[in-house]
Amino acid sequence: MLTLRHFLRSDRWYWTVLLAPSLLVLAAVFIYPLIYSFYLSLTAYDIIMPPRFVGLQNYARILSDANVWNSVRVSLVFTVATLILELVIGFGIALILHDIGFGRNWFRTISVIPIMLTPIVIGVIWRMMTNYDFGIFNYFVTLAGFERVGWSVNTRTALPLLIASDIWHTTGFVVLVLSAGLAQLPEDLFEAAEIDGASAWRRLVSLTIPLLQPVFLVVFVFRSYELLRMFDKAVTLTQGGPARATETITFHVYQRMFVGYQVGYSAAVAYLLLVLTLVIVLPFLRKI
Amino acid sequence: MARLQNWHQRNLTRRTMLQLMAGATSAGILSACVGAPSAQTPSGGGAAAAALDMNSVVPRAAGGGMSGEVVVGIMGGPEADAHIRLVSRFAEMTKNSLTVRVEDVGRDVWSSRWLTNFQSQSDEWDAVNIQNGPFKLAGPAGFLQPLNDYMDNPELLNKELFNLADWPQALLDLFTIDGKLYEFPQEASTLMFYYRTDLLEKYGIEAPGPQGYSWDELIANCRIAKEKIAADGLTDTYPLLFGTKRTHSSIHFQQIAWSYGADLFIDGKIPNFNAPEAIAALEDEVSWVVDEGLVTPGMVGYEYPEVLTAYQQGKAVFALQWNAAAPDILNPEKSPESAGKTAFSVFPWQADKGPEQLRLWPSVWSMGVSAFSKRPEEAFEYIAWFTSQDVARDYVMKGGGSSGRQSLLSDPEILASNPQFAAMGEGFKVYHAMPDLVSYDFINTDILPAHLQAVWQGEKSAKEALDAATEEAKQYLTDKGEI
Repeated sequence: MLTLRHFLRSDRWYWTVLLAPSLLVLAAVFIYPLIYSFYLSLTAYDIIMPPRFVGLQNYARILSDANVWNSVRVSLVFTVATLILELVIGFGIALILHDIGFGRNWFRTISVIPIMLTPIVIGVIWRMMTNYDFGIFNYFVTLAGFERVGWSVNTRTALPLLIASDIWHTTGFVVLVLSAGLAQLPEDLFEAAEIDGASAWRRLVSLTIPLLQPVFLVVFVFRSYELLRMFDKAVTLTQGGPARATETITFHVYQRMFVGYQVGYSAAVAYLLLVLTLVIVLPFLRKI
Repeated sequence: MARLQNWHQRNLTRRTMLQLMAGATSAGILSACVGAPSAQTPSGGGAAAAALDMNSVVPRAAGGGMSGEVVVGIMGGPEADAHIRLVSRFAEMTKNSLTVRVEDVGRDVWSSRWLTNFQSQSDEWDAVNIQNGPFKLAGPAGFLQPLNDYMDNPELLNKELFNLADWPQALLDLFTIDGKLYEFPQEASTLMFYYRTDLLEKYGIEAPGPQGYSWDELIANCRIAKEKIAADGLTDTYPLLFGTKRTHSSIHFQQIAWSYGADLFIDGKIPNFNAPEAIAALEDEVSWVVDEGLVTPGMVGYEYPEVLTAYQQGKAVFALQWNAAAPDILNPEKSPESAGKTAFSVFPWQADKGPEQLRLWPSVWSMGVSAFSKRPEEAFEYIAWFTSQDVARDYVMKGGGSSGRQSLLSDPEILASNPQFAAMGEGFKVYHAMPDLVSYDFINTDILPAHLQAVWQGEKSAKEALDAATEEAKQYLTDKGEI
């Protein structure tokens, strides 16, 4: 058992002292807000009057709030669809970049450029490109002889548009991580399989994908929680509309908090998002 | 020996580091206790009073009796740009003893920024722009200081020169609580009626008078324009243009419903969006847009910038747009299609109710003094100077919007370069009162738009949407304890 004397004679006190400020800062900027926001979720607080404790009333209200469940549905559809498509497209691009020799670095650089743009900028650019009357999307649509499409103004196309913009923005990240994973795979294993007569498809399914599983998991975890809390593009591209068709949970929380001034209720919805994220991400986090 | 030396050095390093940490902590604590030297000079007093320049609207600042820096918090855009352009003139007037720094915050994050700033009682901003919508919260919450005491101090304000009565009382009432004024209007805006004079002449359509078209006249003219546009073979040009993206859908609905005589908030509080006049107004609006195709289907994704761009590109004969777009539309370099061919009038009215029917949604940018400012008098001097008649005149003449001051709206020189001002002046006369609700902003920007957009999508009838919006708004206000 570590006694105080042992502790002081060892290096531990030294490291403890050095780490203490960082831990205090972490507690101040992370743990305290987490606890305080949970406290707020148990109150009715409208900015003007001080918070009033209401117990679990806000959580009970969530159960019957159709707008909250709509935002949960939108966030889940957005997350699942985007994640699947990003993984499939990103893996495909990473495989091609891994196999081609000519211009590999050039293509890799091109594929990661969108990641460097901020989501706000992406949203604004896509909003202009998809404008009904003077966007470039509809220019090509009409050029092809079709009727113009209300990309961001139609409840059926607004969410797919948001998904497409996110795929365009962040697939480069998937490409980058999977490319790094592919570069680390043992070549002798693939050579042996090839000598044994395994087809390219067989090598992909039986070797590449299983060996890349940890990398896929990392991508899955990182992208899942980022997609679940997506906010910026929903604000700039569609403003959550039309008719709440692209209203994600974070957008809903923002509206309730900063426009509706329902601080307690928005904190409770934010905790719902936290629980949802943990339920989805935690099981996979343990496997990494 | 070497090990001993290393140990000695390690010991020294640790001690030195700990000493450094302790020193830094002590210095931090001491500096926090002592505080930063104030940039403020004592206000009032003989020296300052002696230097008063009574010819200025803000005598003490003009006399060099104030020093330091005033920070202005404002949402980004042309209104903030005007501050950025004019602050050097203010500093010059104070003989560079009192300067102003403008912090313009992006529009998308402005709501969260001002609210967190005030909630944390930050003294970062001294003067702040809170529009009439959010003022419903900021005023009662005590985020702003009443201006009356400052206004009554002759050292701070030359009341005669400032002439508060130059603003219509309706504008000042938007920022008044219990008889105390909290902000000065910087810019009063209205949605107004734009029309292409060349196209009206070409199509044989009579231009509207100073009070604008009635809805019946407008729609009849839109039908004529639609035929002529089709005859010209133009497939991407529409008779009428307006935006109904999110908040804009709500503002347009309220204005049209008010023009039809709807009482959307009973006693200024209880939501009543499904009043028969409101349902009729929305049904008519849908029939013009969806059934008759008088407006582009893209309008569901349009707000100010899209309407401006489409009009600049010559894609419409008429437009319902904010007055702020007028300088761009009249600028031949920015808008070769529309400059010199555009005239203005008031938002349409309903024939049964007449053009005097109060129907315009007030949108007023305004400046107040933060309750947490450490330089409230200096901040007051700046906002009073900025909103004074001379500076407002400069603001208007250099492409800014209307300050709402009546004297400027009727100034012949200003009218010559800003033809939209005549219609704006008419528009201010028919401003509709805002509901007496702290929580109105959420209803206007969230609840109503969601249901109205469902109507534009053909997912709900006007009645179904307005019934649902009324119920949701009532529930929200009940939850907030407002009704």
